[in-house]
Amino acid sequence: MSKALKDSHIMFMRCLTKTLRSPEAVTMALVVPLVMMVLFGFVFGGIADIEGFNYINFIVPGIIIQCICNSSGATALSVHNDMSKGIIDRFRSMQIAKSAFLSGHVWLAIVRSMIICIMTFAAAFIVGFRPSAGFLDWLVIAGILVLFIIAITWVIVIFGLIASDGEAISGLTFLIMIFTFLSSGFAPPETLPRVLRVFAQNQPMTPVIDAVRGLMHGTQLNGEIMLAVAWCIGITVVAFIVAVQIYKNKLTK
Amino acid sequence: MEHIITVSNLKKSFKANHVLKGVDFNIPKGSIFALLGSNGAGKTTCVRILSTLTKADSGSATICGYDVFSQTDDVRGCISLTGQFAAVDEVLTGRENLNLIGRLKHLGDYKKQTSEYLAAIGLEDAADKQVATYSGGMRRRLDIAMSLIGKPQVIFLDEPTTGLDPQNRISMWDTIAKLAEEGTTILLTTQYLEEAEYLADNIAILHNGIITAKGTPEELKKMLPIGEIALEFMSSKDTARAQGFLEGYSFTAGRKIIEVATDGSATQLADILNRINNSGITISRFTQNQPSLEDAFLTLIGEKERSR
Ligand SMILES: Nc1ncnc2c1ncn2[C@@H]1O[C@H](COP(=O)(O)OP(=O)(O)OP(=O)(O)O)[C@@H](O)[C@H]1O
Ligand SMILES: [Mg+2]
Repeated sequence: MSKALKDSHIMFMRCLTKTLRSPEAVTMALVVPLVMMVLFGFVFGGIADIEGFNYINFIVPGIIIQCICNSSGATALSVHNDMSKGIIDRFRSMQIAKSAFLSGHVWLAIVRSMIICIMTFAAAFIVGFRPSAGFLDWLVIAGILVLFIIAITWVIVIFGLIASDGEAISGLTFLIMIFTFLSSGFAPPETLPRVLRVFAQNQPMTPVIDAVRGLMHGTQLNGEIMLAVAWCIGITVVAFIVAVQIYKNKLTK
Repeated sequence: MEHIITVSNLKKSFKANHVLKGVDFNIPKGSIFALLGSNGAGKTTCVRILSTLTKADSGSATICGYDVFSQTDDVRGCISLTGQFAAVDEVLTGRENLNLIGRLKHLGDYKKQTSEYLAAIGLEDAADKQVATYSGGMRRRLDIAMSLIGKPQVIFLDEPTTGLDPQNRISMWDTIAKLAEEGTTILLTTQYLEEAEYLADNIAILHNGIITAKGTPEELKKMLPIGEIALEFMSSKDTARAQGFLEGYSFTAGRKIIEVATDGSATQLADILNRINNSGITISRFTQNQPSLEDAFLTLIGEKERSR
């Protein structure tokens, strides 16, 4: 194993140990998807069913995206905590691969979000989610979600680097949650007022949600997959460059 | 003599605040070097530059033969830093903190080293508790132990004993002295003169952005221009008479005591005692006021202040 990989792995294990050390946070992260599914599925699902389409099937991609965003706030907080305490100075004065610190956080965020995804799918099945996707469809869904997770993680890392305190992080994470609502996740964008509709139709989460939904239920897709992939890769590249630059700037001060 | 750290004409400003204006010093391998200065003198800045955390504006520095500014990775391989504020992970336990450093240094026997250092700093009982539950002193000791893992050649200790109780301070001194005996080079900063005096082979006083004085503790004491002696007499009559024999010296006389300023040399001391003895006056008590490093420090700082 190369030194950079080894060091990243050590940093990953450190982040993992720290995460597991607060059982409340872990439980909360795992319970939230379940609660969201039950809430939206049973409460609103009943109303929507009258109109003749299965609301639970409709809403699963939106909830998944939302759960991913919700759980990634923790990464911003842990990056911020490390950066604002003396421990980062110790790491920096050691002969450690330069990429190890951030990649430790990023790897953990990715693994955690994947687990959250699986939990959310499980909760969805419990409340009556019935997809018609085949094996290949599922592979593509997994691929899109992983790309989305990586993109959102790097954005969140920026939040952790620039935020002055925990409150600022809550604020920034809330902003992302607004994106999840103003998308095609919970209602077709056509039903939204004009300004919000334009926003919802053109923001990155909508193609991701549309692509995942289309693959799940075998409905017609018009380039949403490519659009989703392009958005995720684009965001990842930009966020990665910005995050690394901010990180370097912070350290040379 | 082989110098493991060389620093020359180091300059660093934070905007208009010129913190280091040309710092020079060299540290022989295996010695303890104390950087002494009051609050805000720039000690931490100096240590951060040498430990590759902060970039200097100009000047040069080498550690273990590597250039601090261009060969940072090599420098990092032979140093270890204990910053002014504890750099420990609160969520992890003491043992996990030490293991983490051992693993990051890719040591094969890091678990063994962890146990050794836990014993050395007396943290065996609390080893598996989260650092968040530690007292300030326990954190500090853990922090320093984390710097010792992997036996680096050079250790920076920024105010290592600030916040320790007297007992732990002494044991920290022992640890530091032992490290130096084993060949580790130590650069420590401190505001405590007694600490520098007790531990350091060489002391440098950082003031107004430059090293205003450097040398061994003894040499620094000698820089004090005044060595004062006090002569005590049986009666005020003797005191008055004795003053007549002290021509050429500056002194202050009390009722039964005369304080004479000397250059601290044995010649002057013998001369004064001879003059009084030969006159037949009995000196009931003689004390030599050894200039403390504290005096030296204050005098040196004060003089620079005046000459500015
Ligand atoms: N990152 C920074 N940005 C701006 N100014 C700084 C920074 N770091 C230090 N300074 C300034 O540099 C000066 C020296 O600070 P430094 O921390 O090196 O002093 P010190 O000798 O370690 O003091 P102390 O004994 O209080 O620890 C101070 O005036 C401080 O305000
Ligand atoms: Mg300091």
